[in-house]
Amino acid sequence: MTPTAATLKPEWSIGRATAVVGRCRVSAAPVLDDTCRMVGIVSESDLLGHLGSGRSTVSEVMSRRVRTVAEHADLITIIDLMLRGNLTNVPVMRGWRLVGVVRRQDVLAALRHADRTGSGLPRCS
Amino acid sequence: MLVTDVMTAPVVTLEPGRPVRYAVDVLHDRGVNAAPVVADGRLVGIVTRTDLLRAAFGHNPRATALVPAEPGGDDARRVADVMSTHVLSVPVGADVAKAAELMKDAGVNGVPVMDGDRVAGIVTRGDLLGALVRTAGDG
Repeated sequence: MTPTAATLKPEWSIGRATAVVGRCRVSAAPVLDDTCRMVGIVSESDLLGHLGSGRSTVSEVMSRRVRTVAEHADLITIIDLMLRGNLTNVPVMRGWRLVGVVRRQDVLAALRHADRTGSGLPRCS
Repeated sequence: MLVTDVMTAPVVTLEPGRPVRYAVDVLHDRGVNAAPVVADGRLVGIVTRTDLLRAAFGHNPRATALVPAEPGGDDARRVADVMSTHVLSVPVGADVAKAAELMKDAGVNGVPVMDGDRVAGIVTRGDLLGALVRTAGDG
């Protein structure tokens, strides 16, 4: 898991969101409201797809249905979610609070480590 | 703006005969999400991190929750076994808008940039967004 590198606010402009996502070089960013609850997620394709659409805020382009995993989820659960949902980033939750994001590279790094050390598959951490 | 203005070059490529494990190492070490697969100088496919995840666990991760314990293991699969052979690409003279449209229509995150038969680079959604950020900054 990677500690959340980039988060957005629903009222932000698409331009500001593009700047954050582009500069942080993430492929998706969770959207948090003023109470720090995750209300959506925005991907690079959401931003590119809405250029020139007339939509102006993050809330207008974000996906409100966000598939997440709980902290300490096992790797199989995460991989299953990524493959079934064609996801590259999966937010990790501790209760209602966002604590990080698991990316495909995190999963592959964990698999490499498990393969090299002969240890069992790790849990999300 | 042309794809050559924003693409990554030189591009990390793989050979179809390489083991899948090697591909995992390359994508990890080079910090890329995908790599074009080249044989005899020709583009024959593309491998993404998702392809490698699917290769590790198949279409039902819960049915094959095993990573071979022995180095090398019994996984003799090659890049050719897991790559996508239907590769969309754009030519070096293409506009970034064309690349964006292609990625959107195909639902892919990146496409190789071709100079004739040669892979000249790769352009991703991240590259396009980065270009937008820089363009906005210049305005």
